[in-house]
Amino acid sequence: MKLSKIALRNIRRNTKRSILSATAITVATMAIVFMFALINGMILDMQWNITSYITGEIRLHNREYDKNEMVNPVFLNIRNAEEKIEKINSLPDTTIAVPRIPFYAVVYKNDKSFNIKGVGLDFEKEREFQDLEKYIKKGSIPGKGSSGIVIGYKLAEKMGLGIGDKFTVLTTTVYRGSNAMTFEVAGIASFGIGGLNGSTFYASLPRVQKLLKSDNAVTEILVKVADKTNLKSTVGEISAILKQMGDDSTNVKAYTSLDTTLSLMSIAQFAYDIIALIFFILASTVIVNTTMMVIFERMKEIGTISAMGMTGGQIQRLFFLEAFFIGILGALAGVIIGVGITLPLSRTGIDFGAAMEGVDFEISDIIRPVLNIKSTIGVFIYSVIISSLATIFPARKAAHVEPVEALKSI
Amino acid sequence: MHTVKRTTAISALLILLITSMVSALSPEQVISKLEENLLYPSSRSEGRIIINDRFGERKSSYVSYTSGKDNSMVEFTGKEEAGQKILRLDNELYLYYPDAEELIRLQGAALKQSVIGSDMSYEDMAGDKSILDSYRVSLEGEETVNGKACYKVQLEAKSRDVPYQNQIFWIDKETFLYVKIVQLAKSGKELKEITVKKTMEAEGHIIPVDMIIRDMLKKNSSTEFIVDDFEINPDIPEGTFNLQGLW
Repeated sequence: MKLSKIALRNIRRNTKRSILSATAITVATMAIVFMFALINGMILDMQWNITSYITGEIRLHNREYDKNEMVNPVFLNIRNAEEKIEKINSLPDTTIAVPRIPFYAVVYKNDKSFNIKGVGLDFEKEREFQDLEKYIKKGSIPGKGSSGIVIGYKLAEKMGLGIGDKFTVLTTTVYRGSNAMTFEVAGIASFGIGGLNGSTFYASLPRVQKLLKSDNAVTEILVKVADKTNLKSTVGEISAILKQMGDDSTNVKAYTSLDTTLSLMSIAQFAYDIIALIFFILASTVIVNTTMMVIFERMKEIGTISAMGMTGGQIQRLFFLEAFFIGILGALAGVIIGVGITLPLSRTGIDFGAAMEGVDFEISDIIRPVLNIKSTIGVFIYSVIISSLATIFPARKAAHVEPVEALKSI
Repeated sequence: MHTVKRTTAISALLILLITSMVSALSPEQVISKLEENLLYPSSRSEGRIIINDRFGERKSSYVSYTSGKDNSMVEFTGKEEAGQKILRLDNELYLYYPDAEELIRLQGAALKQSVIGSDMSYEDMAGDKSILDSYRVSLEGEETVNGKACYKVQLEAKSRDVPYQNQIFWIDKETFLYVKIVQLAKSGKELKEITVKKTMEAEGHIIPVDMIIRDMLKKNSSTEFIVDDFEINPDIPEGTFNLQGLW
């Protein structure tokens, strides 16, 4: 009789034991599938947050801006921004380019001072660029050129502001003098990045240009592209446009080459890799442990088949095949259940808001797990292999035990 | 003969000693004279501000009014700050900006902010006490600064509620106007330096009309205040020194 047939018969003969073994593989596989999807979701979320709120996929800055960032250098700006944005938008590789002016300001309210960050932007374009509408908790996005602003909900709470309330910000102008302007709260937002919620407000670009006396200049232009793998060539195309326009004071950089982004991403990637590795080892231990226990429990059976003339090699192959078949069943079930749990959560998301309280990292409160087909297939194959390989050591040991000894082990 | 000579010498020495004792001023008297010189019922001045920092030079201009030592109002007239006002009423400071719908009242740490990005802070404009109320003074000798013979007077704060814990004034022995001021932290770290380049006389008062302030905590930074027009007891527009008058 073929070994594979005996293996299948053995699986069927002791259904409870087979189910127990398969369940361990299922649970471990399911957990790995879900965990990988969650970590993938976290990385993509962080990438999206960084590129939507901070850097764009490509960022245009004044050459001197980065090294003077601490002194609120709104005077280190990009002139004729509208014309440049129009030309960048006409490139086939870009999807959208938006102008922004981030600036630091102070608010004196009720005998308290609040150091805050403002961002002058085009609300209409930002609806698309950062999906702004989705993050508005109360009120609405203000109209173009209005004195309305969108404020992070934690900052609004700290300053005691509600919809329709006004506050006056004092800041440095492009002439390095000071100016103040009054804004009205039109919308309260829960931005993707927790840190923004406690420090930032968005105001319309023309109002901020008036406040900073910067005419039509902006501090940065952020660009999103159709194909992220082609960032380098798009950076080259944008640089060529600037050169054509006689602008040699603006730097064009892909977000992947920005020091801050890169260090943030590498820290996050490292942390996630460690979490994934620990989880992977834990899940593998469950599979290995269960498989080994099953074999050690079957010493009497091993003694019997050995006494009936089955060779050590055949015994090893038999157990390997049993584990292989159970592994396929368990891993398949694990992948199906893992995908089944992940898919709805990838739409609704998981709220880590309470756990992330006080953590100033570029990650959203709500994380949506994202399935990766390659890694899911990889997890399936891994689970089958690990459960099969787990038989080698105990089966080998069992195969070398004398039948009499094996029969005594009961 | 010898006795006569000795008596004459001793008498001359005594006369010199008595004369110098009578003419020597105490540091308190020097400071009082400094404050008397700078105190007038009211004034109006117009001037320019030249600010230099590591990013370059920029200019502004202003009109200012004072009433006594407690009330003042500065309105900036340069293009970049046109219409912005700073009103000081007793020890309160208010900022008016044409683009803002409310006044900003500055207090506490906010007073350390720089005025229109210059080397002068708002707290340099505040403070209603006389120097002698706030500081213990001591005469550290006499020195020549910018070609002028000066009293060197050391000021040590009596309490912590003053912007500078220590100051050194070099005060012109003739005009009783400071020629140079160095303002220090308690640790002795130099915070600011003020140098008077030029003065003018107005109704018996000596007024600094060209003055450089350097914030020593900023790199390559200085602000020059140049007074182009100065008048004592001028006609002051009604409402200049009240909050409603700012609008």
